[in-house]
Amino acid sequence: MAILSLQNINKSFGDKKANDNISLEVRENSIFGMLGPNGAGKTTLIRIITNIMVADSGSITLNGQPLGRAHNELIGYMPEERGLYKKMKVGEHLIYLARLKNLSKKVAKEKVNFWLEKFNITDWYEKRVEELSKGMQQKVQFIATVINDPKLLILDEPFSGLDPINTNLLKDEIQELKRKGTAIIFSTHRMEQVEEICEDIALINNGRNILSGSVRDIRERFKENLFSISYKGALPELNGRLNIVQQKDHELIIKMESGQSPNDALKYCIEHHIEVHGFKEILPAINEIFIKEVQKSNG
Amino acid sequence: MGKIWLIIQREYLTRVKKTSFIVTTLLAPAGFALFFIGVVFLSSYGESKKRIVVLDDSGYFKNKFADDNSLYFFFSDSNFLWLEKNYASLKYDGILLIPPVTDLNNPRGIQYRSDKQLGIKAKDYIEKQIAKVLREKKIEEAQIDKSVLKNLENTKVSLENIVYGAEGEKTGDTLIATALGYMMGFVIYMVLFIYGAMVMKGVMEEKTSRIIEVMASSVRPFQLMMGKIIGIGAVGLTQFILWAILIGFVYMILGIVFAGQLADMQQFTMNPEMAPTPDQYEVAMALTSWENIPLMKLFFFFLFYFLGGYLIYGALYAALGSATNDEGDSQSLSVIISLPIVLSIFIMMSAIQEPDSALAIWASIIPFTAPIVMPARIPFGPDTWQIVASMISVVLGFVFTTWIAAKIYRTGILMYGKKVTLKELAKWVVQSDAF
Repeated sequence: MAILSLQNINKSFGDKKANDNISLEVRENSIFGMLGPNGAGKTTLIRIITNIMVADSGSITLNGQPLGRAHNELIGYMPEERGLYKKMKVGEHLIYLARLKNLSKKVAKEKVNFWLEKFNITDWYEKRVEELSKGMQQKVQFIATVINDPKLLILDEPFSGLDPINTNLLKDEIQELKRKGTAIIFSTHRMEQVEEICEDIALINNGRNILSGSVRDIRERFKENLFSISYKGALPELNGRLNIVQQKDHELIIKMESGQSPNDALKYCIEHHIEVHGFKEILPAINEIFIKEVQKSNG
Repeated sequence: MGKIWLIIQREYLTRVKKTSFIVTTLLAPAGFALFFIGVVFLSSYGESKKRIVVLDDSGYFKNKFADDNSLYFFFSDSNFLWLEKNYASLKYDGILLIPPVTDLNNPRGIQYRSDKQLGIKAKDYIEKQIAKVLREKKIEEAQIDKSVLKNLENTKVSLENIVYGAEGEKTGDTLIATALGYMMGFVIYMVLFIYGAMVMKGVMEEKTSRIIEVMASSVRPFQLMMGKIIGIGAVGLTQFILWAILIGFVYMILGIVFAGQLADMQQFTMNPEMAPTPDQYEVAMALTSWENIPLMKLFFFFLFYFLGGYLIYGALYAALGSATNDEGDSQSLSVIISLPIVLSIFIMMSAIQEPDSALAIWASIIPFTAPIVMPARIPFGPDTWQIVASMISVVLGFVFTTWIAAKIYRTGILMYGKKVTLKELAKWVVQSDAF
């Protein structure tokens, strides 16, 4: 079931259409990747979802209800450009942001203590934000985003500027939040992260949703019937029965013609005494699909 | 309202806890105290004592000069050349040389000789002493009866200003009204600049530190803007109230510590006979009519125009801060807001001279000038309709500027990297729902 549903969202700034009839759905308990080149309209769409902007037309439902200001308490948003009040102390800053999400002072304090303990940074409570490094500030920003236990979490490039250890820490937290029932919109340019983390994606270009669906389905849809065969020993004369696209060190990349099955290729290899050590289908990377589709869309 | 209250609290507490706030709040009364002590000290001990030897060849002046606290006259019959060589060793500071006087109206050749320049006050005092003696000589030669002359000269006219009001007649005073009017107008003028700039800087900081996007996803831009304006306004009000209390307290302490010196000063100003200038006489009269000043009424109007003016300009400064990306941009655009404030102070000065001129009346009703001009006119008792019109205009002005500012603010805070023109700002205002 979709926790967030966008139908025909349009938003223009003067003559420029930032969002052009965008529709998409984010499932409950899922991680949704919002992809697109710079200036594609992702940030505008996120700002509409977070009620920072109002769409010119279209409808949005969150949790089955038309989106309104009251829903902001259900949303956590970490923008790409991080920002905190530099002179404030970490503890009071987090409590302040939590209270703006309508948490009581008592609950806000409890939540702040919980997250600081969880990240093992309780000694930061009395530190001023300006005393923290960029990566440390990012952790504080993440806590501020999730402190109200949002139903929908929007993370714009959440790993930028983080070292590998903290990247993994955040990834684990994102997965845990998902397990607990939070739907996550993940906006990034890092395609390997999309493949690793996201279940569904939407590709936005020039304000339009040019491709959406589950990562698995999209990769299936764009596959070119390529298979990789790794082998041992010498390769006999193949007499053109396999359509070899590429031959590398003890590996063949073959393309299956229509009507052919992978078993045909395997059978052929066995008949020709090729010692097969590995056989797998090559699905296109999201990165390739991204580049191809954006180029196609730009004409 | 809950969220605005949270923002007000943050804006207020972060500022009043700052060392700079505490230091400036405490330093101003300390500065006042230092100034006060300085004045008392200078008036009591600041002048150096001078011993002046007088060589009077005219014979008119001998032993007729009165000493004051700093000048002592000693008449001598010594030879000038000898005295010129020895006056320093005789512990004199200078020689006052008076040649024979041939023309009582224009005595020539009177000289003060010394190795040091004579101060203006001392020079003035000596000239007055000489003039006084010559005047008496002239009276004597003219055979005028001194008592008759004294009687003729002893004519002092003081125009008592009776103001008709709802509570009946009361004594007004132009000098004290001028002083109060000027003070109130000027304080509000400073408030608009200092705290307006603080609002602008605060908005710019939120924008450049990029926290604005996080905030905007939790609160409405209008709530954010109003929270900031009210919070900073409260800081300003706190600072002024603290200054008033502390300065009052310091004045009281100094009054006790320097009771003697104050009494001397007051005696000088309160006794018209001892007052050498008409200005001091006026001050003395003004001080006596303090009890007629409706302080509570003045405080109410001061507070109203303080808040009204601050809210009008605070909203505009917030809009400006949201629309600009750096200090340079903001400085060039802030000139537009500063102009009516600066214009107001000039109109205020004119309004104090002529409180009922057309310029003063109109400037008291136009919302952009009223917060500075009207408080300055209040001590002169303007017509009730003018006060009512002015107050309504300020309230409407606040609603109007806040409406405009909110429109610019909600668009401006999320606009980065683009240099904003006035045309663009106008477009943001006209667009029904830019964001």
